[in-house]
Amino acid sequence: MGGLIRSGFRSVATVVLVVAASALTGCVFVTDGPKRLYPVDVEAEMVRQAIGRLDLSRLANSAADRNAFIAARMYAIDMQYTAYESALTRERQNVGFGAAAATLGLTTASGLLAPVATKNILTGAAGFITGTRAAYDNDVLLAQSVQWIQSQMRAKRGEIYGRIVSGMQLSTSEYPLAAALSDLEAYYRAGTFTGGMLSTSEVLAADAQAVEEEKRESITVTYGSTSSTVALRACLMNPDVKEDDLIALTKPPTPRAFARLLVDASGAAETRRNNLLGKARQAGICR
Amino acid sequence: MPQILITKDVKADDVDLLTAAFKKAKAISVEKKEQSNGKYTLTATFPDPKK
Repeated sequence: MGGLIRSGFRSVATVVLVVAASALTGCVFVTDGPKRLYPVDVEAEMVRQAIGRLDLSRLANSAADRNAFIAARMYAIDMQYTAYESALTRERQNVGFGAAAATLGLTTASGLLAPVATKNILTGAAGFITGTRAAYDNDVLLAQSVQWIQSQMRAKRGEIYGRIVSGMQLSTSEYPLAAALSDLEAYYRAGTFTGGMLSTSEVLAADAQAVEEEKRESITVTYGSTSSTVALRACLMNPDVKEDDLIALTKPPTPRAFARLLVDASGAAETRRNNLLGKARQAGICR
Repeated sequence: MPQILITKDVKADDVDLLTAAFKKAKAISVEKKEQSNGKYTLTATFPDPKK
């Protein structure tokens, strides 16, 4: 009898350890991706050296040199952003996935193991983890917010990426170095958590207003042509682009709400339009 | 009920471009009316999203 109890406790201990390990380590079988050719720090140093070899006096007058400088800086920002985003994702997964896996593992195990004592211990342990999870609720909420903020960071980066790439087609008088540096700073800032939070609150407020207005039978807007209205229209009119794909990304996803973004000159519409363009570029719909 | 989008102050050069864009965005009809300042008002009608 004593041996049976000891054996039962060993089984319980094993299950609890395995589940607890999963809970603590989170998503152990999901990795960030294949190994890099060079570690980020090493490659960042290479980019720094490459920028150092550019003739800085020529950047203001030579579009080719300016573009080489912009491309190098963007690549460096992208590398750092990838590492930062992976770290954010890992943190997010560790909270939500760990707690969920622990609860699921323990309650499933208690159903599979027959002895009442074992079941009670396991259910008790599951209750403990569930309680822990209740304490995690705020963290899980945070994790979901982080996911949303990450997607806003990507959308905003996509938007500014488009602006920079368009600028790179222009001469140095039309897109001077100072403007490029300002855009590079905006590109970096869009990939920060603070930038993502600001962008999220702007877009949420603008979307909420649009959803409310969309209930009206008739909406009147004043036309304004900006680089983003031109870009959205060019994307829509591309024969390879399906209008339904763009409408689906709009909030609310109705033809009129989308059409409004083609023309509306208001600041809220500009925010929503840029967000839509960012998402469309991220999805590979627009260039 | 169809949804209507009224766009004011459209430059003459942009009328055709926007009309084509609205139509690709599923407008049922697009009507133009000249304003007193030489610009145009476009009234585009879109299908009821609930249907």
